Amino acid sequence: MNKQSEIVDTIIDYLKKGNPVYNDLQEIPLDKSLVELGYMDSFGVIDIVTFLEGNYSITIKDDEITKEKFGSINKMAKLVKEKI
Amino acid sequence: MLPINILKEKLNLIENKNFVFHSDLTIFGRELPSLKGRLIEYIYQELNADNLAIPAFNLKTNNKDYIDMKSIDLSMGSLPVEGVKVCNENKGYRTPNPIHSYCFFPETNNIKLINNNKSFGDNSVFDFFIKNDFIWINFGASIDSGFTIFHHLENIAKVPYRKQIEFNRNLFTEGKIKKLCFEYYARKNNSFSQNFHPAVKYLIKINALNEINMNGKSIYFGLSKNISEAILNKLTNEPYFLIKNN
Repeated sequence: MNKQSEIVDTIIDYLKKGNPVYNDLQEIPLDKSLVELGYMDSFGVIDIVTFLEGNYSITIKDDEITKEKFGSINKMAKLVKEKI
Repeated sequence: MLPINILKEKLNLIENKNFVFHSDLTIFGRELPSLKGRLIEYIYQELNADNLAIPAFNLKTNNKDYIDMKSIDLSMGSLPVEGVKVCNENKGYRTPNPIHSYCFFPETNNIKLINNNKSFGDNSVFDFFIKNDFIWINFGASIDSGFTIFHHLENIAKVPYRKQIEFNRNLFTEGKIKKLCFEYYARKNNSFSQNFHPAVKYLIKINALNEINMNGKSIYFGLSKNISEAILNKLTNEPYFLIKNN
């Protein structure tokens, strides 16, 4: 069974593969909005949604793609954890 | 039904077709990836717009005195990036403003009359929206980020917690460096935070703004002129209406 920390690592790996900006960061913030920090745009948000759905065979509803439920790496991992 | 279609249905009831469109594009959901590279055209066509203005703010350039109006920075957000790309293909006009720049589709002569040496106040882009009957649309963005027009109204009302300041900027636009002394209506201190929620609630109550809820987000639209009149009246009696103390 996936622990939340493992899901976090999976998300970070995926982000690093897709966007070199994450490799340049000393530390990727886990509790801050990557959109607000300027590391991710809306296309990137939908991209990570699609990745997580495919990787974990889950469905993330449109009304879950909000700052409150999906606004940081930890929030993304928590949402995934609840669904698997 | 897609969010843009719901908005379109409502907007069909309004004759005016000039729009200012602020958005958190995640409201498009799974449809969004298919719109990459044609998003501006899609919004323009779906809304049956005569003129469409998309924000392309340079909010992270406060410490930079050189700004290239053609540069694209992910931190601007997806919608501005798409807007600037289309303008760079000469299919629209980006106002040469170092902070509150907008991309207009199509380019029209009256847009050139906007004073871009300032963000807010008379003859600013927000004044232009109000005087030219633009409909303000917040398509899924948060209330505190999707109603920049309120800052313009703070300037017009001369609210006591802000002050006029000036600073220099070098703007690279149309192949030339333009030096400008920029006017900005800055906060006096950090003892307060903006709080636009009561204003939005009030505008909905008096029918100056419409709200549609969808996918956990909200779509708001209303005539800039009506928003302006209502908020200016409110600020006359309650100058701190748009903020809360920290």
